[in-house]
Amino acid sequence: MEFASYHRPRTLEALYTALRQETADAVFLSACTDVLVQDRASGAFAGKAAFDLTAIEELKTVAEEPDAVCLGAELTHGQIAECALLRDCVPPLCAACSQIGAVQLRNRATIGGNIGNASPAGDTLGPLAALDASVGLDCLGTRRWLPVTELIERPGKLCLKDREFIREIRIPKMPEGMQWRFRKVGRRQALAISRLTLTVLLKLEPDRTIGVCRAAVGAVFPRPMRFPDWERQFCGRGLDAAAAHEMAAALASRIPEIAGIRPSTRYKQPVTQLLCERFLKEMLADAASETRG
Amino acid sequence: MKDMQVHCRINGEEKLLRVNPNKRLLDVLREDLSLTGTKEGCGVGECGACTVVVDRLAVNACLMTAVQMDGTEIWTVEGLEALPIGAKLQEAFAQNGAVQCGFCTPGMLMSAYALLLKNPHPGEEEIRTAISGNICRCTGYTPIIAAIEDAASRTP
Repeated sequence: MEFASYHRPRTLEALYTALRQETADAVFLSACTDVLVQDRASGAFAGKAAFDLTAIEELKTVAEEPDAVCLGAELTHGQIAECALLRDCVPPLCAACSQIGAVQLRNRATIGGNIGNASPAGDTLGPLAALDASVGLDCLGTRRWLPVTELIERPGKLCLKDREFIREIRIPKMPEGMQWRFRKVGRRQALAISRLTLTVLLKLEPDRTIGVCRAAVGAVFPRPMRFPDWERQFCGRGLDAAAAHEMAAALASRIPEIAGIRPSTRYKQPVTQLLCERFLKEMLADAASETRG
Repeated sequence: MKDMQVHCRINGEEKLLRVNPNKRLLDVLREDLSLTGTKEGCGVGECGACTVVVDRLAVNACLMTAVQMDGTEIWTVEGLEALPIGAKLQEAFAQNGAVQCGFCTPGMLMSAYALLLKNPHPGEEEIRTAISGNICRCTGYTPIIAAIEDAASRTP
């Protein structure tokens, strides 16, 4: 590492003061599990002023609102995966956090860092998109919010202003009766970088018609993708095995439409289709057994 | 850039250190404190050879900046012998053939130590998960898992 300067404030006020005084380009550090790797490979952060957020307790809180939870950006994946409130309110995110890297990484790496790294393969991005999460940004105390899908400009780049950082993530609680599935596909069981993630949320009405259906596909496009027209297309229709097959095929057909035919399309399209169909059928079966029970 | 002061506990001893902010925790341990039991394998958080325990959690020392040591309690393999669970793990590794070339052993021991701190009687699946970030090219993992189970069985 060859940072020009290194600041590790303990409060947001101290952070703003340091940011105002520093003239060099700023880089915000979280656990550094990506920054140190990227810096080792290319010296990407040489000459920058480092602002380390890891000592700021205000960024490590979980706040419960009536309809949402608000997560500080410095919460680690391990903390999110094990938090009872979050497992109850936003379980797909907890499932994703529990599978990131290995234990050592989950103990350090943070949700703010995962978003800030803006990797197309970022494991939390798909579930956050499916859950309609928005990201709270802070520029010297001036706040604004952006949906997670709009925050990522391109791989590795967020739409952030100079000296603006990720402060928190607000996620609406999953409504009562909403079912979910999340699956990460990698090349090995542990320590794998996602090749594809699929998050599906489904709310079935008592008559088995679809009340809400959302899908977010991660690690396939430059940013996690939702498909609002696909979600609208099937809303109100009855769900059975044939409908699950049709919905899954329609979802997977978006991959070549949007990303073009890439070498990975040969497996990402069928895997997306099969996973989506399996999820929908499982959730249909769960709903049926719940009614019987 | 000027050195920065960090206050931490390492292997039970209070330390007030001046560290170069451009160093990693791993560099401070090995170069400044001569705690060379912690190994550098890949340097990018994939092999787990540099695993140490920070605030009761296993972390990669290659992916933590020196300044982030401030306010923490750190245990390295050198401190393990003085800890009841640590000593049991060391004995169990030796007796179960869990050490061959030995390069992964310090990291493997520290991951196992963090696991037993959290859960003194883990199941095999939990052990496998706990060491999934530690790569061993010699043993095939089976004796390591047996050693951790053995150490856990020695804990009341």
